[in-house]
Amino acid sequence: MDEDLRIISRFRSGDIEAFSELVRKYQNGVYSFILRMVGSEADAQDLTQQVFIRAFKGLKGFRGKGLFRTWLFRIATNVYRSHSKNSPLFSNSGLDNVRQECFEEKVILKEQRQVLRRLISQLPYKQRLTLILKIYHELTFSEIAQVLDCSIGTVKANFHFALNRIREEWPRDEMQGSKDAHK
Amino acid sequence: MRCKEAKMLISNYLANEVTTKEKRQLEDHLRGCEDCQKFLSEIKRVFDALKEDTISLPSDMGGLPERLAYRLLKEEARPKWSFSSFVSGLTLATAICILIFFSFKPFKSTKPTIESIPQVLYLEEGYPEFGTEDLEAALVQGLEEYLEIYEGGWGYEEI
Repeated sequence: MDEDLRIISRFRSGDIEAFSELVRKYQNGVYSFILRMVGSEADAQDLTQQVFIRAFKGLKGFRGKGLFRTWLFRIATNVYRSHSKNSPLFSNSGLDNVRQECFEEKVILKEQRQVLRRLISQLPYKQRLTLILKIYHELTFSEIAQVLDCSIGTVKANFHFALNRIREEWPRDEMQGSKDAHK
Repeated sequence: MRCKEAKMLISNYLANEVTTKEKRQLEDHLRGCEDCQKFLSEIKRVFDALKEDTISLPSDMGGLPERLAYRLLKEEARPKWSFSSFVSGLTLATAICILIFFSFKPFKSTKPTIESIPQVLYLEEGYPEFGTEDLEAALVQGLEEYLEIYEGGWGYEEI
């Protein structure tokens, strides 16, 4: 039996600590996923809590057909979507500003990273989600299809269009500079 | 394989999401196509740059399970207002209202009051020596007889 399913089974038998184990295991993944989507640490922390609260309430109904991780990312996606609908910060310009403010204090950004993050934030919603789930969380296309409730073909296309769009938008000198650096 | 198909496949190839057959076909195509080689090189650069972009996590993430446990316990302690509890509450309230409605008898005094005999009595100065209860008792016993006894203090006229 899958390790997560064993923990869930313990939770269903009344072991509340089992849920804390799941939180410890997935908190970083959920948080970093949401942070990449929203760009604000405060929002990301709040939304991460909401994701786990929803997971807690829905865990008894989790049938284990797919992976728990996939199910959790699906909740995270829904939480992000309902939040972005209600928040005026999530216009394109707002997102850029928040994103820069958030990361400036944490790491010394290279110009390339700033450009990349801006380009990612400008991607259409499903392309952005697909890219983040694939690159940073290493979900398979099949798992991403479950999270987004679409076909694997759509995921493949979204991934291709996302990478290609960044390639096209990436400044030529940046691309050239990277090439030189790699030589 | 055409260039268009090859370019579509390159992203999946980098993500390790191609079949053995697709991989072989793509590699065959790339060997003879400079344009697609250039495309692969550019996409790979984007792919690698994205991979390198890590974020640092806050140090207080460790407290999340505890914060969650506290919040969930608080929610559990709060009374829950589900639809079913709302409906059962409403049913109970309706039942109580029906019970009160049917058990209530509109007040009908068996005793006559001052207000009930305005056409008979006309009071000049109120009640000098006795209260309403006495007067009501008098009305029950017989108005005419009672008023004769206290003739001096009362004035009346028939309308």
